[in-house]
Amino acid sequence: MSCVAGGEPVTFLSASRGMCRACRRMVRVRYVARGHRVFLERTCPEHGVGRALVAESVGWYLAAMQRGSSSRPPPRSFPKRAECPHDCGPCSFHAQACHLPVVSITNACDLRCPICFTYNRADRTYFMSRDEFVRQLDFVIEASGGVDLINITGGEPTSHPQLFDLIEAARRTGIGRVTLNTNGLRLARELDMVERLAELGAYVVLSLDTLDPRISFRMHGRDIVAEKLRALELLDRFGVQTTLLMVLAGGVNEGELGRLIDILLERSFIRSLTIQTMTYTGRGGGTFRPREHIPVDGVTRRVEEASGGRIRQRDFLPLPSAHPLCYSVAYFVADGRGGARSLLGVLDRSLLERHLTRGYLLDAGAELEEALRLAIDRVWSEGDDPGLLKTMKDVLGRVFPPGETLDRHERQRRAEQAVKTVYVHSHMDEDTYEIGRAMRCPDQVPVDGEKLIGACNYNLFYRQNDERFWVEAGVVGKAEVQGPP
Amino acid sequence: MLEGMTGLVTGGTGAIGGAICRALGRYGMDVAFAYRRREEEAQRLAAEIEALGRRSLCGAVDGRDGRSVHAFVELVEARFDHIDLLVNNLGITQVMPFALIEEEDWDEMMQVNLKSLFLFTKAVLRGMVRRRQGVILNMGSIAGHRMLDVPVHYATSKAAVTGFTTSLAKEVCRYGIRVNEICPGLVDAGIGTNVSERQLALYNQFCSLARPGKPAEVAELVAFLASDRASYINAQQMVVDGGL
Repeated sequence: MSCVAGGEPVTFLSASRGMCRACRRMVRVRYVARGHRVFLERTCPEHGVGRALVAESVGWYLAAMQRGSSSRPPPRSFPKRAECPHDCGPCSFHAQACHLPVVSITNACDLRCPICFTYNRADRTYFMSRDEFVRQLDFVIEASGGVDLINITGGEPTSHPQLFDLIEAARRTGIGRVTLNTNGLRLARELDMVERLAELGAYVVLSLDTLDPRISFRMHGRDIVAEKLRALELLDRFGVQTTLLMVLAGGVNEGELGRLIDILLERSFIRSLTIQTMTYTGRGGGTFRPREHIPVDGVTRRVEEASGGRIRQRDFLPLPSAHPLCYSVAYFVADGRGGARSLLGVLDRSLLERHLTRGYLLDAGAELEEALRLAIDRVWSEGDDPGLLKTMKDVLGRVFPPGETLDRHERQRRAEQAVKTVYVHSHMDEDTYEIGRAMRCPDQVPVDGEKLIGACNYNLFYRQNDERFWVEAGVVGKAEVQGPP
Repeated sequence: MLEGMTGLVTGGTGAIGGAICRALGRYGMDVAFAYRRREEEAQRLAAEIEALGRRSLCGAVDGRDGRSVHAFVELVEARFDHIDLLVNNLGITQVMPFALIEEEDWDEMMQVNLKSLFLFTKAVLRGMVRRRQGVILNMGSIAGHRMLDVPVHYATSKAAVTGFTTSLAKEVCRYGIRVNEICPGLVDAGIGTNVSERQLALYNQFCSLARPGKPAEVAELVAFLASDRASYINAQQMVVDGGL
């Protein structure tokens, strides 16, 4: 149904349920195209109408919605007993199994970032015990059948006194890879810690939002650029496989994208760049200004501009295991000199999507190997991209260097180094929360060794009631998110 | 048997090469061939093929030079639209005991017998992969497989043809392209005439047919392997030696 309001064509797209930012109650929401853009509009009987941008392009939105998703329901779920999201665990309505368990091992943090979107109580410090951590892992593996990745987060997890014990506990059958979120401040100070992380084979997810001291002050409350650069230097020195995690805040640090993309493409120890759109909730984010939501396709457009076309918007595809408004991903073969060639120029899009249905990592199996072989022959026989063939040959030369014998692990490491990934991840806040997205969330938080709760559901509805992390259940959170819509 | 097909033969003005071109033309194939120096022989051969009612195209090509090879293959593809068959027949030998083989001799043997094999195959295969069909026949030799009194560098180059053939066959079978090797015994023409009387007598003694082969007998096998009648023959070393 279309109509024209205020000179702008308005098209109703779909209806669902979301939340009111003022009273945090579940309310009716609808997706609406206004001109070329798509908004989530909510109507609260008490607080009226609100609106948030969820797609810059209605064409992108419709195409993304029409692409097949890979719904793989959780192997274990609870009967649906209450309205979503108030009995998450997940219930039988949840459409996606856990692909990335996110475990908060502490609420302690040495920063008070204005952009922080989680709720962390300041009056009491919580450190998850090793026993509790193992119990959570047991449950995750039992409930999911095993995961490629696990994410250890906080607070600031490097402040946990038993961090290495926990990482060692996570190196077990059923968990492919341990990733550790960090602000990097302690890594910058403690060379031994970086060395130990390298020995343990942990992947570090380093928050890096800016290299500009003034912007750092706005986003982190103080200038931490020098510490970030020192952490990067040490991670590089010890070869710790690293993901850069950038929070992209509209009107604040969009100009930093190009520099971070350069780091991704030029530094061999950087595996991927995750661009997380600013989430306007939590201890800091709830009151952060300006409040300019950037949707996933807005990020990919900015990436194309900031990278000078090295990474194009069409190189991204919605992650099939998540909702298209939550995740997009692009894979590249990097030439090590700042250049990048999209894997979509090599591999068929549907094949890539098929390989991503179970999570975030490309499954380097026989089918992918054969597809790469066919792709090289296709590019060669059609003769339309000699540069791509050269890049592929460079990669082979690094993985199988003439005159050198590498062990299997080193070859795997070099092969992984050749492929760079850009993830765009959009968490939901009170303005953008919508049940349909929550139902397809593959990032899940294990709770009490008996529940897996979608990450945004957890952050918006449960963490405030978790006494380990927050004081005065729900009350402070509610106060902080109040403000002009 | 080969009507409507197109082929490219390297070393076309040699004894076996010429016989192959004629046989392919007789069986209905349009034939392009590369030669190096024998201009008059090339013109004669081209005329013979055209007299059979087939199209013909010949070019003076240095098989050791990638640009020269590519330019000729592009010309053939432009004239014939595509290439169904590549016969890598170009090859040289020297009568030379191991003690006299110098580095330049070794390099020249590998350049002509192997580099040309790679260059022509690379240039022609691209179109075959694109079209998902084609046949490649590589001229090896029993010298690459048997203990014979032949120059070491020649035997080495012919043994390498086997590795090239089998690995390439494996790599491109996914596109429906067949790759086989033909291993002639002693042939009474061309480089086969370099053998001494003693060597010829020995060959005849151990050959069940008691004679050297003829180029046309090798060419018949080429025509058969090029055709769909050989559709289930791939990655093989087909020996034509009269039963040695």
